[in-house]
Amino acid sequence: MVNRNNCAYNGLRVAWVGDQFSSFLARILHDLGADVVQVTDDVETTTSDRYVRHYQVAIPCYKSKDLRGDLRDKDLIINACREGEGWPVLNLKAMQTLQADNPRQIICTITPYGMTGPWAGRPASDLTLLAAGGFLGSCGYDDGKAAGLPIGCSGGQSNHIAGMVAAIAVQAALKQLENSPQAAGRRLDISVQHALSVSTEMSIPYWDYTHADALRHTGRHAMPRETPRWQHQAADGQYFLALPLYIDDKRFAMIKQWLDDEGIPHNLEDEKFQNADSREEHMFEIVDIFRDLVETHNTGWLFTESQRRRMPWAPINRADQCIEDSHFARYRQTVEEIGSVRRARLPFLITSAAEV
Amino acid sequence: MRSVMFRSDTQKRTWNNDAFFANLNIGKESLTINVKDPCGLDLIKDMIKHVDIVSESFSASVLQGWGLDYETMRQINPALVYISISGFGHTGPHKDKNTWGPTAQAMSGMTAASGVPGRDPAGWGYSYLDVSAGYMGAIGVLAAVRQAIKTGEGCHIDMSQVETGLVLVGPMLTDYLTDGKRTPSSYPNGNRSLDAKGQDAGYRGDTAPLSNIYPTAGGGKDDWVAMTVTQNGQWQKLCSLVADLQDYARLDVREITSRLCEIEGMLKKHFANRDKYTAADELTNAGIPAAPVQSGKDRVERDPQLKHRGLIAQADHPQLGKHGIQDLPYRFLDDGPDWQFTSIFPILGGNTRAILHDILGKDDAELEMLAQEDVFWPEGIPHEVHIEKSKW
Repeated sequence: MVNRNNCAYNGLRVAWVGDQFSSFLARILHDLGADVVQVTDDVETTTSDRYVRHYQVAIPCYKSKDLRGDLRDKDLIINACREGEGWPVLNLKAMQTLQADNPRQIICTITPYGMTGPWAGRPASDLTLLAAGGFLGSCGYDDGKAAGLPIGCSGGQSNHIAGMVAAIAVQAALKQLENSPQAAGRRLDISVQHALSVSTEMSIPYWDYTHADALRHTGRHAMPRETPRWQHQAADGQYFLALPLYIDDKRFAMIKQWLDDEGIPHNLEDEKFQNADSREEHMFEIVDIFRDLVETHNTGWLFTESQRRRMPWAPINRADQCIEDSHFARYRQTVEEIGSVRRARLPFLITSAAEV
Repeated sequence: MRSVMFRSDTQKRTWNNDAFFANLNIGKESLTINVKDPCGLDLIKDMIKHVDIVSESFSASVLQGWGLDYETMRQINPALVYISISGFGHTGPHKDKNTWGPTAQAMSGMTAASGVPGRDPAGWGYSYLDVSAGYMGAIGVLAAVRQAIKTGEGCHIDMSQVETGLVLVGPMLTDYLTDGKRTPSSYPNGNRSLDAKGQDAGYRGDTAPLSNIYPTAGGGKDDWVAMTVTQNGQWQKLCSLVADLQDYARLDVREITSRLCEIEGMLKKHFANRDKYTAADELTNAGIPAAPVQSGKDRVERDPQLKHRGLIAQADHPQLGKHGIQDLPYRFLDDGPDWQFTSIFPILGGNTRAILHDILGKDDAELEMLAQEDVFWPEGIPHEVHIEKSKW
């Protein structure tokens, strides 16, 4: 339906109960060809239309009068919480009953903190999980009026991380079943907080390996030490990322030439900048010169000219600006249409000439 | 990546004992082949006959430059799944552009979708799209292999980090693509779900009138508690917990936004003398979503839930000895076996001979000849390089 080509899971019957932190998993499985249905009981869903169309546009939803009967024959159940709750719709006893009815059925339970442990059952929101899972520990401001303020990324990343981490697990559990005709379906216990916590790149390793806690820095990696800024406001008012990393001798020579060509005064011929290690130690000074370059030019020009010199620089776009770029709008299959809804498709297209 | 972050007790730092690299690559073996040597390239083509997946994250033209474009690989193995993960993908006018995780985040809108009005974006404190493009790649590859088993037909998954960002930025892009509604100028709105007009500005999956972080006792960079109030019942509980809010209990939860400034002032006063864990305990015990803002140290040392789940597992590294790694985040509610990493780490070229023997049937004499001809390792490049300074 959505992507003709993504049909690996055609015929897989999936029921989805509860809605919190699970709609992205439902969408992923649907977009890979599975037959996903959302099953609700008498409780009214609180999900707004905006979210329904983004995650669930092609996923039917029906109110069940016999939950056990409706779930019995499914290959996979996504068992999530309702908004504001910490326990899933199907409790342990209900899961045992379903497993007895259909031993090869997989149940993927997604809860804020998992089904066991001291915080199990706690209610949560996207923001509180971004706090507990470490995203707020790394992201935010280190300067100006908002200095010291942790900022949680928007867009629903608790849902997204839980969905991606669970999708990998579900596929592994399905593979195990296929390999073992006698095996029982697994009952997965996905904790959104745990999934987030292993998705923060260097924050935990910094502490575990060096006993240093990372400091959040505005618009750039949290590090245990101060680092120069990466983003500057360009002449057209838009912010621009001038990443001062991995500047090898070749790139450095091109930057100097570029500055000369543009008439930007600099002292980059100074001996202290010529060696890669000492250059790194004086990066704050180099970044001041980058700022001068950015502030006097528009983002489009900066993107073209920096990339021509192999610099990984880019405009800080809004998503609607990015999608209008001809690279995505004309040359890539970035957008899909389902009825009246247009949205970004999942970033993989599994093509197939054969019927599955 | 092999010289990024070393453990503080590592004296001689090399390509093979980077702690962060080991954390990311547990369970993998290492085969080294000199692709600039024609014999080396032939070995890789022979390997392609026997593998299910080729995965790479070079710039768009690198494998093509080696003579290993998808069409060539498909001729060798029609069922092969080839995944390339690059910044912009392998087609389109930007395909050769140079990107790192932060570049893709800036380009896609992920960076701009975080911050407070009137300021530069707060952005991301790490390369989120390096992590999440890896997850998306794993999902796509697992599905493609399943499809290839059914049809005998592999494919090229041309994954773009920027396109991954365009999916993860969430419903705000669907709003634009479907209704033409651009991101409002007041967006993003800090940690709140709603903006000053009561419109959804966080796209967080809730439309909570009260959702923010508040400073707690200690005054440290992570001494904050996050809290979200969506429902009337939660609001009533909060009013009974916070003495100064008792007079506000008559308000319907939807009326909170009109009194937000004074209400948040009282909350700040209430939490100022409480430890963040105590504050979160009190709120969650009352059924109100809340949590402490946690750093890396907090999650390793103080968080009882992650300790219960087993955030860090110990593995045996050939050069580091016992080494802590972030464990798979999967637990089960049944009696089946746990999923665990195999305690193998990729020492550069450490498995070359064994892999070529096991998969291609090369005998000792052939392997020795290939080694002598520098097919496994370019002449003049030392196998162990002392790293003076790590990048991170």
